[in-house]
Amino acid sequence: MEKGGRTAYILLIIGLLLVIISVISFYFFGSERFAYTVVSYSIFGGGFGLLGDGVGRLNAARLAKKDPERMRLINIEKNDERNIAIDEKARAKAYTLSIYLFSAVLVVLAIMRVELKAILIVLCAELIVMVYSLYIRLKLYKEM
Amino acid sequence: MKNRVEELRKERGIKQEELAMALEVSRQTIGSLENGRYNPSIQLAFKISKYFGLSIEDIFIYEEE
Repeated sequence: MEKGGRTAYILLIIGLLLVIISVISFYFFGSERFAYTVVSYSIFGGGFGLLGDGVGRLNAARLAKKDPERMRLINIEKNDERNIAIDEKARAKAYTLSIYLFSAVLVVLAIMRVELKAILIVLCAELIVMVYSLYIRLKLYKEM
Repeated sequence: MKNRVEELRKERGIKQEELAMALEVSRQTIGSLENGRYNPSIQLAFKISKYFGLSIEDIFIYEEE
């Protein structure tokens, strides 16, 4: 079996296992504590995400075997430099917007007199995004 | 930056799709290149020049802004 197909099956199995584990844990411990419910739902969501990814990869592997020409077209579209440039520009613009949004949310939360913990969590999230951006920038300065 | 991609392609009777396939880019990229809306990377510029058998300067015309 090819590498792509193998990865797809591994993801499918892990996804399925996570979904089963989440259902079982929700059935047995879900009602005990709210945190258990949240964890069960999170595992369920992650499991379904992996299942979806696995199905997608499996379809891609099958298509590559069945119709290599179509797969080549899909890959050209995916790796097209203009598409990549557009995608990167869109992400950069969305990042700028997210910084403004985070700041606006912080002001709104402060006006609403929301608990300080919640405000600090949002502030931390904003700082993590900004520090990560700075880290990538410094890394690229060295590499490029 | 202006370029002669459309002119050279039409001279050789090649369709946008065929050029896109040969250069391994999408047809939209060729369209945008020809309209001057998109400037290619240096790799793509070299691919284009190799495909037409010309130098990069013969295809792409640099203009001071």
